[in-house]
Amino acid sequence: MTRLVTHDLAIRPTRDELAAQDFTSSLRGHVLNHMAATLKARYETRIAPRQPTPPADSRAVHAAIKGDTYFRFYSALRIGAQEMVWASVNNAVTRDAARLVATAKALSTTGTGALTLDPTLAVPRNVSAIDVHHMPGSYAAESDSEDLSAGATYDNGLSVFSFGLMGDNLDDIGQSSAFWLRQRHPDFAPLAILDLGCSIGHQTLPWKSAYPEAMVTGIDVAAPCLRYAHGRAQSQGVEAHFVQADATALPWPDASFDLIYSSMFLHELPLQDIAAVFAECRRLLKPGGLMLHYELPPNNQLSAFDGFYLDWDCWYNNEPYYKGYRDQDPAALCANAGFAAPGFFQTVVPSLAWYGEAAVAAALAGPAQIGGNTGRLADGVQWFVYGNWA
Amino acid sequence: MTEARGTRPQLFDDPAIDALVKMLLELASETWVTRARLAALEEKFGSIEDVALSPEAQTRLAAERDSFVARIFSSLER
Repeated sequence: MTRLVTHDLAIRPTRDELAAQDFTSSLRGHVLNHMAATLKARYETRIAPRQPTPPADSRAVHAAIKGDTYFRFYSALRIGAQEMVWASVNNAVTRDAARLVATAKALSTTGTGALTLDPTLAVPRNVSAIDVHHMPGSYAAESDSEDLSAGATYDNGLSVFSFGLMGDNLDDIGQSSAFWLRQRHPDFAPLAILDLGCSIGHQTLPWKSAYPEAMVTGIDVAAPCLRYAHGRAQSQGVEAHFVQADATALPWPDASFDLIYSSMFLHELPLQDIAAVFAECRRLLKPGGLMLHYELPPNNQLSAFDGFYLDWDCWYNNEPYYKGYRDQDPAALCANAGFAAPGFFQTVVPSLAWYGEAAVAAALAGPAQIGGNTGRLADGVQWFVYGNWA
Repeated sequence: MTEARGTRPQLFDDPAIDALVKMLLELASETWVTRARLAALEEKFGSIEDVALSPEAQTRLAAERDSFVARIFSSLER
């Protein structure tokens, strides 16, 4: 099985496929740690000083750096490695597709979580027309009404992609977010929790572990990911419900949830959809409820180079909405949706998987500082989280 | 599906260099695959598909892999 996909929907890669996965992870580790650090030093010592005026923002850094040979190799290797992530799992997923369907069917009778699909839902074009982060078929491609290959591709690909930096169960963002919330607001006890754009539910399940009394629901537009999410949750013995729905127009009445969460979701949306999602959060939250997003830190709180480093994905990784989102101000997005300004907050949560509970708890007692490793998948990653109380 | 839709970014003025990078990656990956298989063979003769490496061998191999990757691309920093 792929290293970090050990539940019942695990695929069965050959020895050679596993070796290719390991190679790809090592390559990504080299590019994202050593080469990224070398690139930054090269920019600061050789490239920036030669500019007529200091590059003031992400675009200016890109313009200054894009002719540099080392940057081009960095980018080419990172793009190549990204394609190898999917290539390293693709054959095994295809080979195991029928077995995964049968396994998911068997799992669906074993737990209490529900799967509710809506075949009439139109998958929005930002999902259907773009192979996000070079993932062949994106999230929603399916061969028939039982296919869950897209979910398997994403889960196994994420294991190769993150090589432990998102935790051994790929759920470190959810785990770290929930840990922060429980530490900082120990009296908050949500009973209805919604996770937006949940894909395979890997960041959904930590909320059930953090709040066992709560009803936890994940929504997504992509049916094959939701089928997979349902089977994955059943396999891991976590009660969570998965509903096919569009976060810009959700099928619940006003004031239905205490906590609405998302992770790595908003940057996949056009700006008008982001506004619609925030408006839906405002509508669906009960008084005293919480909207909470894990996202990449915004450009207006980063140095020009660090902003450019994250914007790279927009220019080179099939993430067309990435920079548009990151150019927004989180507080303004909340305020524009009608949230009251005093209820806004943002923080930086060190990765639980990397630092451990004691170190994270100690860090949370101090001031939250955005640093160069905030939102950047590399050694010592820290997660940027913000939200607004209703 | 094995190919993502969309335009693959071109980084170099000569597109052959982009292709060269991709070929290099494939070659490097295949080389690693062979090395990994040889390591398994050294553990045990016969069919090795189901042979599990010891934790010590896995740890050693992971460290060798990381340095192998660093070595391939070290020429960029000369």
